[in-house]
Amino acid sequence: MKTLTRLALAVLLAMPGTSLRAESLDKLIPDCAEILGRMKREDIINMDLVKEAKGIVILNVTGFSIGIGGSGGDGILMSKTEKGWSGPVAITTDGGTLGIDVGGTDNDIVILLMTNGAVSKWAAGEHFGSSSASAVMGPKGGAAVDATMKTRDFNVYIWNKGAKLGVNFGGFDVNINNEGNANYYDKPLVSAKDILNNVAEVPESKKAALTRVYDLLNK
Amino acid sequence: MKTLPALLALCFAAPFLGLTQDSDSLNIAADQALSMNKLDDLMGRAQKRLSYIMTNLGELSDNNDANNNFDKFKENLDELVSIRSDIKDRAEKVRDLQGKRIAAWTKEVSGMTDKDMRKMTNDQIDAAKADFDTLDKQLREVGGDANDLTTLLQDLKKYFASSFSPDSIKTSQPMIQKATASAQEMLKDTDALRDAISKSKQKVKGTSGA
Repeated sequence: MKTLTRLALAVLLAMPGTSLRAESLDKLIPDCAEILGRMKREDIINMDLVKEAKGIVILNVTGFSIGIGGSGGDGILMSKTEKGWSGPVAITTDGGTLGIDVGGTDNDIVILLMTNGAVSKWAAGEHFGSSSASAVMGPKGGAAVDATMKTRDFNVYIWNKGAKLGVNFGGFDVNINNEGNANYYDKPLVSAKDILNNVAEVPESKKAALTRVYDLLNK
Repeated sequence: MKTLPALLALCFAAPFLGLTQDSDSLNIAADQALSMNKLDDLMGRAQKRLSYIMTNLGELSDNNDANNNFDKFKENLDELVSIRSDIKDRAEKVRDLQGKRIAAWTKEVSGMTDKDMRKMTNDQIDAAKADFDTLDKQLREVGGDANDLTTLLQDLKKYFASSFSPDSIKTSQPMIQKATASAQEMLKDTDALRDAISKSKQKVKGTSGA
């Protein structure tokens, strides 16, 4: 029995920091609306800064356990276009310590992408090294927004059972959930770029459920 | 000008007047705030379920995997009805605790000897009653709309249970569109209601018995 436990532990420790789940966009959208709604309600996120953002990432990130390091995240990426917010791109994050300072917990994360370059990096599914991004906690709701906040790559907001954690941002990979996007948009080869540029439009049957996210972002 | 000395007096006298952390009204306020948190959680769960239902109805309208989406629609609707029932119970609990909190607070005020302090606390109680009445009105309005929406969704379920075919789906389009529009309104109204609950909760935690 002891051998079995050791074996299981060894397998767990040897596992790369891959995401344990990749939800469908039909499930992710209400989850992300809930994350955004809570952050607005509790005045965690600064809505003036949302107006300035070029894109947004809404994620739930779970740390596997203290000591193992690495985490798995599941969420959506959207960009701001001339027609308003684009449709959602399903993404996952692997590894790193994105937002997790305490380990082994659930963290709701909203990242405001302030530059087109930052949106492109996320859309390309890049690796974010610990020093590759300038990211800081965004200002609280109602706080004055200055030029620095508008021009840095990211403004990060984290919620963890009411506690706001420090940003520990880096060493993680972004993966585009191609299967999830293909199912949602009913297009097998749909790309993140096409979704973010509104080339691939949200299917009529999905629009109603997405309205809440748009309402929360635009209000 | 009279308020300032009364406030100072209240700060010094509170520990001797039973208005400490152990006061009944404060304990009930903590319970009420907790109950409001649970109410908020339930509303979040209901919103998620309603979003799934909207997707199921959208897919049904497009005739995408219709049988599977009808099964999911029924499942999500049953879950929504169950959560609605929990919401009603929880809202009653919050109302009950509000009544108990105000009663306990009023009793505590009757023990106060300083006239100015008593008046000031009575004003706080009146404000707390008015705040909650506004919230309760909003709760009842959204609750009424939720009843109408649930009935509409149950009617759709019954209709499809008796006849489920591409033709019946086509015929039901006005009903589906009405349900979808109502559901969108419901999500928006519920977000506004949750904002109001959150603000009211802060007041409940911050005013009673102090």
